[in-house]
Amino acid sequence: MTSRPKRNTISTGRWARLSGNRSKWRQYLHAIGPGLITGASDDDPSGIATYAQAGSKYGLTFLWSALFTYPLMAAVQEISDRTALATGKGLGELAVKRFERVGKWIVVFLVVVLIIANTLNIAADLVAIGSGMTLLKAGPTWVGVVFGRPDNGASGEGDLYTH
Amino acid sequence: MFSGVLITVLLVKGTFTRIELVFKTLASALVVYLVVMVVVTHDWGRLLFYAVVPHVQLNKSSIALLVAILGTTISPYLFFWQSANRLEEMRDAPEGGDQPTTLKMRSKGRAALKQRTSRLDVFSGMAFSNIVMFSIIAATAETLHVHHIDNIQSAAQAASSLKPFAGKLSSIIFAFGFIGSGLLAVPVLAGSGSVGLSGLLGKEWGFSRSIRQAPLFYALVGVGTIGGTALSLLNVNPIQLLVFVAVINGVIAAPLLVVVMLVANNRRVMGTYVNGRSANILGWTAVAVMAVASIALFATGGLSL
Repeated sequence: MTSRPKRNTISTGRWARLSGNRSKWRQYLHAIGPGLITGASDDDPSGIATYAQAGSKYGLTFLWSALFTYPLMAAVQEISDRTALATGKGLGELAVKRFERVGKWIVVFLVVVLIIANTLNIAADLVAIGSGMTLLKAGPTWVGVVFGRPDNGASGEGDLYTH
Repeated sequence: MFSGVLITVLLVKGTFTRIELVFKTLASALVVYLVVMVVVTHDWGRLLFYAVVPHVQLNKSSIALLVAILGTTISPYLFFWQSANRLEEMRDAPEGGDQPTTLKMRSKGRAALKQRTSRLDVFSGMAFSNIVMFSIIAATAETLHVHHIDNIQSAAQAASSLKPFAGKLSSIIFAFGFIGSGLLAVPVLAGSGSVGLSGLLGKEWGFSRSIRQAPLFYALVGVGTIGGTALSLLNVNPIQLLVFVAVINGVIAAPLLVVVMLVANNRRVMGTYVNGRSANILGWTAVAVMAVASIALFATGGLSL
């Protein structure tokens, strides 16, 4: 990390408005961001496939898992979030600060494994996006993967309506 | 062009504010699953009953599925992304130039307000996540399960199987939802590990930094996105991929959670913002649950999605 001199600016613009006279609802809308995005990315196509499998195979019997995992997941995410708020540093930097040499390299190993898992997950998600586009556009899967751009979702949807 | 490459271009070229807007839009696409649930649910009382009363079947495939659900919900990439995304938001905020203003630098009142609004964001974001999960289980139970379709192996297959029972529109919006969340998940997946490794190696990271400022970070994001795109074109069996991912995540989830807990309980790192009692109880419970899940994963002979 490069360390530039910090300045404690006086509150202006956005921040002043947030703590000022906005209604609670608008305050809330302003506050949502990282939590919503992280929560939504938890429901990636791999996750959706798993949930759909649970529902189709076992009916409603796995429904309780949504309620059961919520406090655990919310707590873990709040903790991760608080490390950032309190220190201004990422978990990687904090792990270096917290652990000795051996500990640090164990964490490095775990994160490298995480990167491998994430790459495989990206592949699975892209295949799913491709198949989704295929459903919307009725073309072969690779067309969806290769031409699958965000704005095609809308036009593809139109195609199916006219079938 | 590849969706993966397009996403990378957005991440490299886009400002944080613009990226955040695209991300929030993609995230809100998931609302469609609530719509599908509302359309297909007839008996809300029964739904509520199953929501609060745990049902556990002690057979191999249902335990494997429970482990898979835990693994896809409490996934390690989310810890890194939550912290990274919050930091990028703090860098982007008007205070402190392009550096994050930590709680300690704020006045007492401001720090408390920031912590409160951030908590609200995290808790409601995760609630949204689990409500979507709930809706998908409920919607597929009320349609596919009722009609004895129990061989669903992908999100797309679920979407197309819905058509005869829930209508073409439900099928379309089901697909629409996971396309949106998939486009969101790709940069999150590519970013979270890269953030962690760059930080561990003492390098600058983040989408709010330029390529010149954070070369290692962008190289890692590029390798992940392009590698994932290449793999997706190789005709690798997507179900096989999912099983691999679930197994790897299952194994590393508990140790990475321990890392997070040890960091968050260290006074030298966190100052007065170390974990409170409830954070510790729930956090260590999550560690225990994921540890048991990874043992169960191997005891049941891996996953058969």
